[in-house]
Amino acid sequence: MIKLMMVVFVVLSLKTYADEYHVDKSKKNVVKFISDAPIEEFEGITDKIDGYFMGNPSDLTKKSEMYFEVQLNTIKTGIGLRDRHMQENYLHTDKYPITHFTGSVIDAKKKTNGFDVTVEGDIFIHGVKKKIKTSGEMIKTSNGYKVSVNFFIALSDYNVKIPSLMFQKINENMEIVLDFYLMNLTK
Amino acid sequence: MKLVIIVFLIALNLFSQSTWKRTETIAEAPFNIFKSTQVYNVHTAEILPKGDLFYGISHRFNGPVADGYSTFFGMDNGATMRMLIAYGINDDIMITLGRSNREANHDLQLKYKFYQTDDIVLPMIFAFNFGVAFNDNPQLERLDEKAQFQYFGSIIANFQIFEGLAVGFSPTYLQNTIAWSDYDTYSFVLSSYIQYYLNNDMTSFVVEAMNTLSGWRGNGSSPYYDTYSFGFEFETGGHFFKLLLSNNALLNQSQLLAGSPVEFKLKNLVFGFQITRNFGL
Repeated sequence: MIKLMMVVFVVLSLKTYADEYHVDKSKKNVVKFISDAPIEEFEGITDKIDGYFMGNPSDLTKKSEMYFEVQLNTIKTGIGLRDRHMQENYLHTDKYPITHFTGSVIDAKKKTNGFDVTVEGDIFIHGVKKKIKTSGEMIKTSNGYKVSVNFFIALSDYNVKIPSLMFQKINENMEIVLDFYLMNLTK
Repeated sequence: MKLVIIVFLIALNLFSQSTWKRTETIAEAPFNIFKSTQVYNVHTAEILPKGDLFYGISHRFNGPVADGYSTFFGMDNGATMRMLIAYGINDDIMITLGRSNREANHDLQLKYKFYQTDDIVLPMIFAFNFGVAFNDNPQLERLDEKAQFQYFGSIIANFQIFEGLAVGFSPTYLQNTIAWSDYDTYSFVLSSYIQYYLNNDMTSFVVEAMNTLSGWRGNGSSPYYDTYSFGFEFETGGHFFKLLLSNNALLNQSQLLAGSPVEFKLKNLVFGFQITRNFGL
């Protein structure tokens, strides 16, 4: 019985073994929201990304788990009035101050300095949950990874309504670019 | 034995869970009652966001709209014009520099937001505004050739009655209402305004009153009247467009606070507008 338990323990441990990584807030993390509309192109930028990644570095697709969140009230577009406008009128950040993603790695290809990964999960924007799949890269650093991901979202999918007066000033498809650092806590 | 297994499973389970917790507080959404720093003629308690540079141009056409097509609703009769630049020093203090073509009146104003509460029952914001004005090209000069400075100060109180409906009051004191007068003149004016924002927040209706409570009211033969204005405001995330009808064709604070030479009657209403743009510095 004891032997069996040991085997179960070892198997389960191996199966559930995962390194834990948190967003390294001492590094230069960047989250960009890029609207490339014909009249007014702009970028919203913040460094307020936080969250964790759990994964086994020998096989990232096994038992991986992640949660990342971005504070929308910290986004700066370069014009204060536009920031307020975006937060109050489109994103309704009084009700939804955070956008977050929960998911896992479904594919990982090893390369010399890290991985090309594909992740899948649920993204929450403006109170709407959507399944998304996107790919990016994780580049090895001295104490973790530098993660780079970019993807597009259609604002209408998240019930973000752009008033008709504004229709030419904000692109319906917004590009989201993430560049942030993960720090390994397990070591 | 079962217990041992359960403990193992719990331990394994704990081992595989993240220890991450949010350590930073969630940044609050911006709080404001009015969207713009001024309704039409009167300041709201709003301050420009820190670092925003603001440019505005306003016209009040001199001819009454009631003149009809022959003067293109008053627009052929020339206009009073004001240009202004303003800057948000921080989220509580802004400065404004403006110039009107009427007597080349310049004004420099400083607005300071000193209290706000996002109370769920009655959100409110309070501010002070101080200004000094100078007529660079006066129609009449004081006999003693003293400089034609005017000074004004106001307290501004804004309240959100419910989501979308904002009201404001602003008692204002103006020293030297008639800059060229050899007598000391003053005006004490209570301004009040109400703005209703439609659902999408982009479009709103404005009604504004400037009532002189005491002080200069014109001469016996040509009395001055209280100013009333009403119209629309449109916002587009960087611009404000304000369109109004008013019985006062003046624009700079020290001139508006004196009142209007014509009464608020349909035949006296003039058309006016303001267009503003925020820039990031």
